[in-house]
Amino acid sequence: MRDFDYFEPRSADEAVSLLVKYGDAAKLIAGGTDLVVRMIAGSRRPKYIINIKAVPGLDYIDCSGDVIKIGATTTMRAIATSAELKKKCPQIVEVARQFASVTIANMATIGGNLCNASPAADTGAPLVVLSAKAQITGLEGTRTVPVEGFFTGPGSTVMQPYELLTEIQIPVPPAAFKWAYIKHGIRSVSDLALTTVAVLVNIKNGIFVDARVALGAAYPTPMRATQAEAALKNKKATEATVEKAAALVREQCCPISDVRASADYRKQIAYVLTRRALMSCLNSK
Amino acid sequence: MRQLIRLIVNGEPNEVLVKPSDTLLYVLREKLGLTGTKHGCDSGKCGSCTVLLDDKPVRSCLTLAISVRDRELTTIEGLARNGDLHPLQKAFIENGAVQCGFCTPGMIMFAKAFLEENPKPREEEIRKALSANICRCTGYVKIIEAIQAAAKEMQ
Repeated sequence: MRDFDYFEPRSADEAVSLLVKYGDAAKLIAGGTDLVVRMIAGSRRPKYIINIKAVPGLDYIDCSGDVIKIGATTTMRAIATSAELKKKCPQIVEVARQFASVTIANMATIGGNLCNASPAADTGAPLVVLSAKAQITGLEGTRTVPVEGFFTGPGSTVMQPYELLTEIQIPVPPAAFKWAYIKHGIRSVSDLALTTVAVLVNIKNGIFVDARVALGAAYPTPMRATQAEAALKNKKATEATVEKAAALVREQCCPISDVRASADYRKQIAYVLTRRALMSCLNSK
Repeated sequence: MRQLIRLIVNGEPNEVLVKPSDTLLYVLREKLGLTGTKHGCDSGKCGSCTVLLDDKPVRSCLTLAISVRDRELTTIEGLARNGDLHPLQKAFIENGAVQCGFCTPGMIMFAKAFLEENPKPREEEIRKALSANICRCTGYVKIIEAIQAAAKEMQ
């Protein structure tokens, strides 16, 4: 690993000033489970490392209001094991429980998972479906963007070089909404997902009155399956509707071929998983 | 620039001179001579470098030593007490859970943290948790039996 200078800022503002000072040569680190792998491999060679896990007050889960607030450096393991969060938003707890191994989850943070902006990031599709927002801190203070608009491509986000992610905000999902999340990978817990799908639907009197569907590793960014959603909304909650919507996911997605799987395989999996996730909502009481 | 940091390893404070780029794995093995922790995949996938940081398992290959200054670390060398092996170490020996032995320290450190959270695990829970650590010899059966035996012993 190439040598670098190391900083432990004591506040988000101090982290911002370090980013302003060192620009592109600096890289933020939190859990390090993505960045350090790349630094060891030599594909990332930052001159300055700013450890935001050292910033006090960025590691919290606040379930007191209608919007759950999770500090950016909260570990995935803390999310997976939060009893309070399980009551208010079992969906994100389920995602965290399926996230990598316990050992990696003890290190990796929810903010890091988003900022790394992997199309396959575990939290991407679920947070899109949950209408979550990302709070970003920069020179002019904080701004908030929907997670859906946070990603701009593989490894890139709407954040400026001098900004950092400070909080994830998740509106408490209505209890009546049905949810399903499926992560498909080769090694069940320790590998990147080949495809993930998250769905949140509201079925009333046998009709899909609301439907949100998103996929990971199916598109250059976490993908909101808008065509599938349109095919579900205000339609009868039947297997035929689900089949039609899932088929549209296959059309909309454009996954890559890599060492893990071919694009064709991923398209087929995206279709199968979407169908399966929606059917499980249909069949749950 | 190198910095002098303090690491508390197996209850003992150590002053070590580190570069910010030194991983915890490197410092444990090459600066403190604690070679029980193994250097495997260097990418957080295999689990052979697992150590406990404030009693929680982490990958030492992906941890910058400088980021854990003043924190409590436990390695495989810290499990035996006054020459008596930890119940997990005994159970691994008695159940033949070791073949080449390379994954064993990581397995045992992970199992220690796992049993603290879940003292009476079901077999499938052990299997699921252990997918964090790769063993290329045993087929895992003996490792699972050893963890079950240790869980009983520790109750």
